[in-house]
Order: sequence, then structure tokens, then C-alpha cells
Amino acid sequence: MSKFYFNEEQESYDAIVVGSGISGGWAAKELCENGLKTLVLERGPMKKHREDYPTANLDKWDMPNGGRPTLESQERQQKQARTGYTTGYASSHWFVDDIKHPYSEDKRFDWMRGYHVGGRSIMWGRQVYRHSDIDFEANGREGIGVDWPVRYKDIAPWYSKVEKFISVSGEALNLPQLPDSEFEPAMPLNCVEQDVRERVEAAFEDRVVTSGRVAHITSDKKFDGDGRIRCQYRNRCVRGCPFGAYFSSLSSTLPVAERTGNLTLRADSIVSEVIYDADTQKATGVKVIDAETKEEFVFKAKVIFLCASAIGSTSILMNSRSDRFPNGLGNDSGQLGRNIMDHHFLVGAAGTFEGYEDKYYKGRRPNGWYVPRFRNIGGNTNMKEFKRGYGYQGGGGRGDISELVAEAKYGSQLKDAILDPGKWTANFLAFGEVLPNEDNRFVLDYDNLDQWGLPTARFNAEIGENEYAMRKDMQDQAVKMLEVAGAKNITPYDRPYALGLGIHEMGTARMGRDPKTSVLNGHNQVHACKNVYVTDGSFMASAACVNPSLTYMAFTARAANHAVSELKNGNI
Amino acid sequence: MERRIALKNIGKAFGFAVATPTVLSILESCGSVDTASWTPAYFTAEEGSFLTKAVDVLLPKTDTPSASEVNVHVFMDKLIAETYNEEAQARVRKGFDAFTAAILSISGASSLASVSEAQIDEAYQALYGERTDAIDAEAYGFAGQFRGMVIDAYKSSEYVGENVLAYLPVPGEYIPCDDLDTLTGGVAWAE
Repeated sequence: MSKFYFNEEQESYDAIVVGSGISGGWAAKELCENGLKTLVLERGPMKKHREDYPTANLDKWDMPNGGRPTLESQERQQKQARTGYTTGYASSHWFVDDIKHPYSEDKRFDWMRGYHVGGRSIMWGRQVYRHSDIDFEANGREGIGVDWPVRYKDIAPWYSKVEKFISVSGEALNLPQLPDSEFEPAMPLNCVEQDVRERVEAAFEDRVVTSGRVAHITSDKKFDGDGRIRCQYRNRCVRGCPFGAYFSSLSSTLPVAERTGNLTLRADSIVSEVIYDADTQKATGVKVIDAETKEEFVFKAKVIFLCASAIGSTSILMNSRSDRFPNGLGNDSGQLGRNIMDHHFLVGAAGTFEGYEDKYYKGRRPNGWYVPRFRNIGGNTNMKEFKRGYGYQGGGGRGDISELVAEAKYGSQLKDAILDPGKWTANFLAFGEVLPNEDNRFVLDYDNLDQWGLPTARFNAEIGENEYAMRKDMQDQAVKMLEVAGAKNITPYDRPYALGLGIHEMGTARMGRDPKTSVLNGHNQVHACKNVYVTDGSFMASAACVNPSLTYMAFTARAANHAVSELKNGNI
Repeated sequence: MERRIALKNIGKAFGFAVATPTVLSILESCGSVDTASWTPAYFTAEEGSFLTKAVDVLLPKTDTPSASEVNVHVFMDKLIAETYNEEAQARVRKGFDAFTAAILSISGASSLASVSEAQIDEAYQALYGERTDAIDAEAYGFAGQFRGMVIDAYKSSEYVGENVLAYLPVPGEYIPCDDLDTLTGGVAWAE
């Protein structure tokens, strides 16, 4: 069976996009809409919207053993299982087989990923927040890492463009540290969350408790893609949404790209390297290994977009060695693979609430609350103990029956207890900024090859003093907010966290103004090979404290349009 | 069942592919597996017969089905056999053996096959009461885990999910705050 979808194979293309996830989908859409014949290469198998969501409509009892991870998954997905929530029957098929796709850890690194068309845009958390100039200016101001070559005004129109396409549900707040998106109606806070919001905002001048900003459709407005309609509040998003209610490549960008007639997609295509031509100082194409047959191919194009995720794209650059680039394509600075960042979390506090026993909600809201950053944003918010900041996610709901069960013991009383909606609980879970640090890196291990003969990633990265100091405040402030909100049984927590578990790995081919200290320029082009763009998490010069996917999409759309104009002008 | 059929029809109307469950669990039907013909996969036959009684003393028949009527015992046995690795099975074995030994010792019953529900009830009074030195720590600890497993299995069953709890697989909307009685008649939503 041909592995080419939507169009036949052709001699060469205008553009090649490596990866079909959240960034690759955007690159494909923008390039195709601008008339470029575009080949998308995905290392995993073909997946189609709706028809390839085998667990989307299953209830617990429809799944073997209530959906618990099988012995096979427990054996083969030991690293993927570190999340604690992804390798059950409902979603294990979206995550890699760790034996087939090995990596090694000098220090623990949780690399969570799925190889298939659509990538992690199918299983992502869907929380979307803009960066502000407080974020873009921080590195330069503090002399940490390199200054972003981009400011908010450069990227704001691209945020808007992306948001109008994906749909962002949320509340406008007009905060300097968290610019508003183009919003669709927010998902409302429930009874206890609303009460907490009012009490927290009354007690703390610097804090807001709002609804999480999520890439879901919450109105009857029409959004482009493959028959997307409003959220049905099933909260089964990770399985793939048959309603297309949240944004994914499969439901949204790829169908739009396909409709232009300019898209060709090839699945099972592992890109091993970018081919560099020293005479023209440009890339001419990519080398590909078929994941199943292991046949090797070369595909040619005028411009290459690497959107294979930070570790994936950076590995491809590292493995693209030539006389000109002995340490990897574009690695004149030696920064390739360094400055791995993520968002550190698993710290915060939870509590129970009384007084709403006769209240409940309807619907499984795939979202919670959000407390925007309130540290180090100027004036008396500035902290001596640490740099940068954090935000809180989490939320409130009913479901804690532990006390009722303990009281009822066993018998008919226990039965009543377990059918009860349970106590109201609420949780502030902090997500903090990780600073860029050259020593946090991964390298390619040529002594440990995978089954395609490619070197595997070896990680050596950890969080440092700033993050640990921040974690203390992340926990303390969660407790303080629960206290003013009237919570009982307040339980602070700070569980061991290793880089990667936020599933926001980024920064390994950072953008900057100076080719001596960065890999990419401000348009996501490799400094010394301008027809190669890298637009996934690799380019991030700093992490900010917010979920990054929206920023990847905005920079990808901007870079793709830049590439179109550079091609037209003969500059690349 | 009607709601499920309705859901599938809604799916068709929208042109959605509604997945058919590839593996229907034994708990598919509302009726009970014939216990006499049930062969446990992890436990011995004698332990299986004890388990059937033990889960019903925890969750007896009231105006809703007992634990064994929705096959909680079958679910638990299969779960341990099919999803617990060797280490986890060894832990269950240790706990279960202590638990059953304590039940026999407290109740004075001669064997797991012959222990009556009344005798299990007597033992539960101790095992689910305040912890005392007279009770084996392993047995007491396992009793708590056992109860958690039974509750989980009961709430994971199709009958309880669809008929006892408030079942709404496609809520379609989010109402953030309303009266409990209006929304579900006082019970929890099925997950």
C-alpha cells in the first residue's frame, strides 16, 4: 500500500515539513494555503480524524479490566507510564513503545511522546496562553541565556491569527503578564471555584482566579477543519475527539491543508538527516528511512521545516553532519541540544470545602481554573528568593468519598456512601518557569543505535537552585490561597519532579540575535542555512511559565509566511 | 441501554463513527455470571467462593444490586490475573492470605468454603473497626485495600454505571452550579 496520502509522489517539492503534530500541522496549512507543494513526513503510522479514535466512545466497562494498563503496556511503556495517566487502555496506543524507541538518562528525563500522524496534538493538555513582553525581555534584562530576537508586538498578530482558527475559550483580564487571546466564551467556574475566586481576589490584590484558557470550541461559531463542533463536556479528549471540539492537527490544520490540493503526506517516514549543499549553502532535501521496510529515500525541496518536537528536530540537526557542519547542521554556536527546559510542577496544595453539600454540576469540564503569574512582574511583586514566576492550574469538584467510606465501614451504609457525590475538594497545582542552562543538555549516543541504525538521545539535565527556591513559594502561596478561601484539611505537596514530565520539552535549538550563541534567528531560520526553519519547541529562548503550544503555533505560522515571501523574493 | 442506542444513533446522524467496543467485559449484562460455573483465574475455587461472599458482605443487596450481582468478584479476580505483574500478585497473595486467616480466626469458621456471610460480618466488625493489637497488621491493612478494590469494581460495572449512578456519556453542556437533587437526584455522576 502506498504510504503517500492526498497526492502522488513527485520528483521534488516546494517545501518539506518534518512532523505532523501541533507545529507541523500549522506549517503544512500555511505553506499549502500559500500555494507551495508541500510534503509532510511523519515517522509514525497514518491516523485519520474520527475513524482512528478506537476508544473515544468507550465507557469504563467497555474496556477490559476497566481500562487498567495491560501487562504488555506495563512491560513496554515503563517510561511513558511515569505520567501515571497515559498508559491505560483508553490512551496507551497514543504513546510510544519504550523498548522500540529507547533513550538513556545520565539524569532522569521523562520523554513522553507519541509517533503517529497528528503527534501530540491529539493528546495535548489544550491549555493555551500568550507570552508577554515580560517573558520576551526577561533573558536580556537578567543576562540569562540569550535575548529573544522577538518582542510581543512581532508575534501578537500571529497569536491572533492562530487563535481565530483554533478557537480559544477564556476570559479577558487585561493583564500585562498574560495578554488576552481572541476569546470564545469561557468555561464557567463551578460553585466552589467561584467562591474561592471571590475570596482569593478579595484577599490578594495581585491575584486572579480565572477559567483555564483552552483550545476548545464553546459556541456555535463555525471553525474551519473537518466538521468541528462545540465541546460536549465528555472529558475524554486524550482519546481523540469525534466532535473535533478541541484543536488537533487531525481535525483542523491537516484537513485545511489537504483541501488546497497542495499537500502530500507520507507516513512511516523517519527523517534521519537534512542534506546540506556546501556550494549553495542551502539544504536540498532530507534522507528518510521507512519505519517498516527500512528502505531509504531522499526527498528534495526548496525549503525544509523541522517540526518533529524539540528532541526530534534537534536530533535530526545533530545527525546532519557534513564538512561544513561537523557537529551538526547549524551548530556553529555549540548550543544544539543544550538549554533543555520544561515546566516544573507537582507542587501545590489541596483542601476540602464545606457548605455546598446540596450543590453539584453537570458535565465533565475538560478544564479547570488558572491563576496567572503574580511574581516578579514589577514593583512589590519582585522577589529576592528567585527569578521569574509560576501560575496555578487545578480546580475544584466533588468526589472525595474517603471520609464517608471510613465512617460507613461496610454493609448497606457503605453502599450509600459510595454512591454519594462526595466532598468538595480543590487544588492549586503550580507550573513554574525553568531557566535556560547550557549544562542541561542531551547528546546523540552513537554507541546505542535504534533498530533503524540511528543514534539515540542521552539526557543529562536537572532543575537548579532557582527552581527549588521557586517551588517553596509555589507551595506556600497555594496554602495561603486555600486558607483565605476557607478550605479545610489543607494538604501541601511537593513531589519529586524530573525535567520532561511537564511534556513541554523545549529550548534545544534556541533562537537569538547572534549566530555565535544561538542556532536560529528571529524567523526560526538556521543562522547559517537559511532554508531550514525549526518551529517546534526547539526554538524557545526561555520557557515562560505558561503552556507553550500556542507560542509554537504562532511562531510556526509566522515562519511559514516568512519562508513563502523569502522564496518569492529569491532569498532562500 | 436505551441511552446507549440513542447515543449511537446521534453519532450516525452527525456522521460520526461510533466505536463498537472491541472487548465487551463479562460485566456487559445486568445479570450475574452463574457462580457455580465460574472458574477463577487467579484465586482457587475455594477462594473464589469466599470472595463471592466477602464482596457481598461489604456491599449487600438493598434496593440496588449486591456486589456479586454485578460480578465484582469476577472483575477483581480477572483484574489481578490479567493486569498485576508478579510482584503485585505476590503482594496481593500475602495480604489476601493474612485477611482470610484473620477472618477464619475471628469467626471460628473451619474453612473458606464453609465460612458464612454472618461469620464474615463478624470478622468485618473487627477488621473494619478501630485497629487493635489483637488484629494482624497485614490483615487489617489488606482489608482497607480490599474495600477500595470492591468499591472501584462496583462503580466500574455497567449496571451500576448506567442505572445506579447518574449516567450521561455525552453531557453536551456544562452547568457549573445547580441543586444536587435537580441534577442527579442526589447520586454521583458515573465517570
